[in-house]
Amino acid sequence: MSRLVGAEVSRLLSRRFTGIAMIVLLLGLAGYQLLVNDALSPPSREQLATAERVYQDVHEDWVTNHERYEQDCRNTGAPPEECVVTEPTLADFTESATPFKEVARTGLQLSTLLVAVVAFMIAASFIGAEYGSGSIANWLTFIPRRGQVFWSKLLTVTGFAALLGLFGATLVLSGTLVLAHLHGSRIESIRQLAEMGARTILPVVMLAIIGFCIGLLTRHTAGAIGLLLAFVVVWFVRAGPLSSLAWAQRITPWTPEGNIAAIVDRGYTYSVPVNKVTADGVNIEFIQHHVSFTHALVYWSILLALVIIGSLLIFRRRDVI
Amino acid sequence: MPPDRLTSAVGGRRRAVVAPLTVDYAVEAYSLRKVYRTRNGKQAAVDGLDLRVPVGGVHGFLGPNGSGKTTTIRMILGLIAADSGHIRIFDHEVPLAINEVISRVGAIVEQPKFFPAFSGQKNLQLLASAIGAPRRRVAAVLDEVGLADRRRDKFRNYSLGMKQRLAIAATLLKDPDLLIFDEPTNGLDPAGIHEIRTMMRDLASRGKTVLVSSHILSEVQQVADTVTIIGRGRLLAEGDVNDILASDGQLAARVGVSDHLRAAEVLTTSGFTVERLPNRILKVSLVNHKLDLAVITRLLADQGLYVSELTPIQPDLESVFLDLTAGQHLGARQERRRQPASRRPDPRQRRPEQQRRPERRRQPELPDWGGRP
Repeated sequence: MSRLVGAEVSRLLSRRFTGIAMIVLLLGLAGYQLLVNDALSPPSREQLATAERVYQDVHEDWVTNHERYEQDCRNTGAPPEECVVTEPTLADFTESATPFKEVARTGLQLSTLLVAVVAFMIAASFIGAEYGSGSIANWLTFIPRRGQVFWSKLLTVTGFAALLGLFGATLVLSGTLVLAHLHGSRIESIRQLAEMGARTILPVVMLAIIGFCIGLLTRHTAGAIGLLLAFVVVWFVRAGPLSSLAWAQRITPWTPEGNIAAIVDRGYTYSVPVNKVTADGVNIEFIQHHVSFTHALVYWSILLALVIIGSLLIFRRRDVI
Repeated sequence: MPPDRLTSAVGGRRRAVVAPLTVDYAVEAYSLRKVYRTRNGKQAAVDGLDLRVPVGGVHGFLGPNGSGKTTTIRMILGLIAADSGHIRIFDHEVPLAINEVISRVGAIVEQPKFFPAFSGQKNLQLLASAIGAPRRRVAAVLDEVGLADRRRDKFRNYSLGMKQRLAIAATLLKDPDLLIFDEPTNGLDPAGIHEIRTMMRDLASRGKTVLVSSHILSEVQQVADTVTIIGRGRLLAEGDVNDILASDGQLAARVGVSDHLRAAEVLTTSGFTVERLPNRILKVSLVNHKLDLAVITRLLADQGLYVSELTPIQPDLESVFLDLTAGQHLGARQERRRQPASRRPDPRQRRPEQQRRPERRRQPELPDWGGRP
């Protein structure tokens, strides 16, 4: 088995697709560091001067007109407390640097998405290319133990994805730390962020396993990528056009993405719109629900077990032509 | 009937081991059947095929396109599962015990299929590391097939001949006892074909068993010691090449007679098959029976007809093949000639000397010997 894993690791690392995917990942993460840099930077002199000018204009307008504005408002019949026009301050017009903790947290969430998609593609391509080129048949004439062949490939992909996830989280966190240090931001919650970084490895590994299994089942990289795109479309439709439908949000605990978010953030809160009929008409209230970290772990464990066992059984029994 | 000693899981049934026998065959397959589902319904690719490949030498596996050669080879290698039947390699039941015997088998199925973006050397290194072959073996086999200079080239840039050579090199990594080559000379130039042929003979001379499927019959005739001929997934003939050719004897003769029309009538009446050729020449044949030229001259002489030419037409494997596989190719009408089970003898019930004899599956149609001496 170790020989097989060694051969698979050698093949995975020698593949051009792996190299290209790694370059894309590095560029993506580097590009994100530019956004981090912007977020952590304090406002420049030019930005401050512009903000000062805008503030003075607005404040002057307030001094001149705010009583008239309030009177106009009251004339419409609105309650007086709703017609108070507060005095603007300079702080309202200057963007302060985003706190380190917030930047790092968002960075980990976004980078996890990117790294997981890259891991999915590498894994799907790893097995899909074997079917595409037909080399799987050649491989099986040398090593007919299909169970061992399956596990060696899956182990290779899983290990690589774990390293990839670790690499991505380390890069994002360390990059954000360095930039925060350079900009003099207050560095805090390092431990919580490190734990979150560790948790982001799980979705990367999970997506890699799913990618491998779908690549194996569809016998083509394109098939796996097509399914991923279809899933993304469904995800966007649920989060966009269907976001106001209660049932579309109520299924969040049973969706892969809801549980991934619960793993990364150690619990995930979502809202379900509920229509409430009152004397004034129909009000929409958003009731908050929570997907726990444990629920997400159990959900993904069961899902992965089913997918892996199903793929293994099919791989063992399916004719290789 | 497959032998009772088989231990089989094919079709979910197991048979008890009765008694060990000496291994006579590198590959044995009995009553193999594989049905594919197509748009037009079920299609039997292999339909009750028996195959026996003796240990040592080159065994040709012949059949028209679509006759089930590659499907059979895939079943032997465990790549696809047989719907029913039994397969043994070196006395190991496959696919049940294929893991125990695979180290003794090297195979190329159809076109060589490697990782296209890797070099020939890298492809072999991967296989070598997977099976635990020493790294130096890669260089040795590349050198053996003449690819040492091109070892760093990507597989996708290899010519078809080089791909075939790389595939052969891969099979040699294990130093197997049985080599299975599926159409190994497809797309090769004459020099490449000669090279592969020489290599197969060389392997056989080193005690290896080579099973080669092909439809290039002249090539098989030159290289094979024994053959199996199949059509529509069924066994048509098997045995020693020379014996198969000899069994056909002189199946036909060119007969030149001045009054060829009358001569044709005389011979036809006597049960010969007569075909008229240009220049008053007749092609006289006797289906699956040895043709005695003296009988022809005597029959004609008795009628006052004297032959000006009498030339035996020697059969070759191609004519035997065409004769046996007539109507068995893909375009032919689906006329299934079901052979009774009694006509498929179990080789274990025969004496060893009988096993070496050619076994023609088609029964000769005896002529009406009106003028038989």
